[in-house]
Amino acid sequence: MTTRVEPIQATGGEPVKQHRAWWHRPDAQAAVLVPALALLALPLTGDFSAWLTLTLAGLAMGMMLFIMTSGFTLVFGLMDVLNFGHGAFISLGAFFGFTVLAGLESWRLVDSLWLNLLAFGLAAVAAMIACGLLSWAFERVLVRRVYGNHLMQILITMGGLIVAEQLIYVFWGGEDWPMLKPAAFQGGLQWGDLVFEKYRLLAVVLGLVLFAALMAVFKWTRLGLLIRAGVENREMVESFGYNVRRLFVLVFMAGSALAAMGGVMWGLYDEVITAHLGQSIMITVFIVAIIGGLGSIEGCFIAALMVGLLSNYVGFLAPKLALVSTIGLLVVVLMWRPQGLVPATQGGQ
Amino acid sequence: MSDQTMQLALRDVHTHVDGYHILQGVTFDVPRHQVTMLLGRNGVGKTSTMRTIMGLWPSSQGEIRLEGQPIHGLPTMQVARRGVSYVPENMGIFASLTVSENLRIASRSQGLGGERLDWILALFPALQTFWHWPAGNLSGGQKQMLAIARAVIEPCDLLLVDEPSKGLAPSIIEKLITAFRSLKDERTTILMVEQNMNMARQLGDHLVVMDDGRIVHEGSMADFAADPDRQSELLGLSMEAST
Repeated sequence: MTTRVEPIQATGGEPVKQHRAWWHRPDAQAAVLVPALALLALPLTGDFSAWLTLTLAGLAMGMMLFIMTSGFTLVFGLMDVLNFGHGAFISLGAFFGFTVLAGLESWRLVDSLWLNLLAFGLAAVAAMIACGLLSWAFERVLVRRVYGNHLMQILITMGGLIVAEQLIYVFWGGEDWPMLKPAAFQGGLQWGDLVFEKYRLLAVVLGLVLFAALMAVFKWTRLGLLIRAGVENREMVESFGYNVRRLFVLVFMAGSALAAMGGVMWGLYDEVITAHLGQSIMITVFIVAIIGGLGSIEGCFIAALMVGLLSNYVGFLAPKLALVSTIGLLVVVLMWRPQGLVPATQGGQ
Repeated sequence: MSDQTMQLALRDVHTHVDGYHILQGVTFDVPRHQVTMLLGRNGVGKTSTMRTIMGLWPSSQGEIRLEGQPIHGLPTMQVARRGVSYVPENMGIFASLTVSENLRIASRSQGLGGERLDWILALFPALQTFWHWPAGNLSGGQKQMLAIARAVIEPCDLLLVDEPSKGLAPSIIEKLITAFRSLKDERTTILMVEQNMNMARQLGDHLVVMDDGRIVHEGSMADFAADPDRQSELLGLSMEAST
């Protein structure tokens, strides 16, 4: 939709709104902010090599944030449910992945990219399946009771998060566990003066693949079409005879599985996992979802990248401000667009 | 209670919303293959009646029967699957989806196509022109056409339409009247909320008038159209003034 078309008078007899150029679309305007932020940071950091390292780190963090936030934002968009229990699946995912990786220790350490990838992949898939199934029970037991009541949702899902954390203490103990990267993803790639950390490259590639896959599902499948329509107007989708509840449970499970994958990736990134990993990330996840526009997957992607980049740049330039930088971004974005970067319910307007 | 010529029958239907007693015993019939007009002033419960039939608001008392089968208490999706289509007052267009995607959601088969689609596109040629546009960019009249097209892309037993003429220019209303005539020729049963007396008179066979959450008049549209005193008594307007 990149061309400007004149108002057409012929068919309906009445003029229609002009088909606006791409730069008028809210998602396109927001997407420009990501390279703009990166370019703005270049003169500030002063050193190209440092800037490149920070940018890669920021993108990697952004991709992981996107993976963790996508499910949270869709669950809100589709059923108006604020699920702070989402963080439980980040923690649980990390611990499931950790356990599987520990069992595959020899594959993780062996000098073979494919066996390393296989170990990582199995850990991620196992965590996703386990958390997907657990989230089904979580939805049945807790979330289903509190439809339509945000305060109750926050309280009861926070409670679920605490219970999940305590269960981690029961099964894995209270200590921090080291979660080491597969051999092939330790260290960096040297290219002249520049160093690219391998695991960050992996995170960026995985994030991009996942975003592309999600967009393809939304654009090309009936399921994706129903999810997008449901985010806009749930009643109307029901009026066409679809079971939106069932659709929601599916999205809830898929979103929790993505949270688990994000947990595994984050655990390997930090190389240490704790039971309150999910709880501490949940704050950032919530901020990313709000900045992006609750319910919007494109907005979530853009916001996650911006938060990732900004945290890394500010952490380097003014470490004391690192904590408040995301809040600052939230404030600025909401002053510009109170509905978030890409408002989910009026994408075409 | 409901004989064979009635598609839909409401008997003493009550609906409470947020503690307000909105429908206070609504009783009327929608005859098969006819257009039933639901008239009344603003805020008397016309839209609430539509939402209650559709199952979007649960009725607290009374019976709603479709083809003699009770449908009160059914969730919306079940009501829809029994052949009831709904065009709400705000049209319910998915603004970020394209025109074709809007139609694809309403169509139960995988692909879009066939005689039914050709017939709909002949009825509303504008839809074809803007096939790949986000529906949010359409004009009000085109959105209404899309909303109606969506509702009838699968053959339906009962079509509920809430104020299709709202906010539209007279020339567009004429087009909608033509489209509804075609649906009527197809023997679709229609229940329509309308404020535009011109449209009501041209399309309606059967007439139901509401006031204060109750039905205050039920009869033939033609009789009502010929009785200006009754109109001003029930609606507070005269037909001459509104045409």
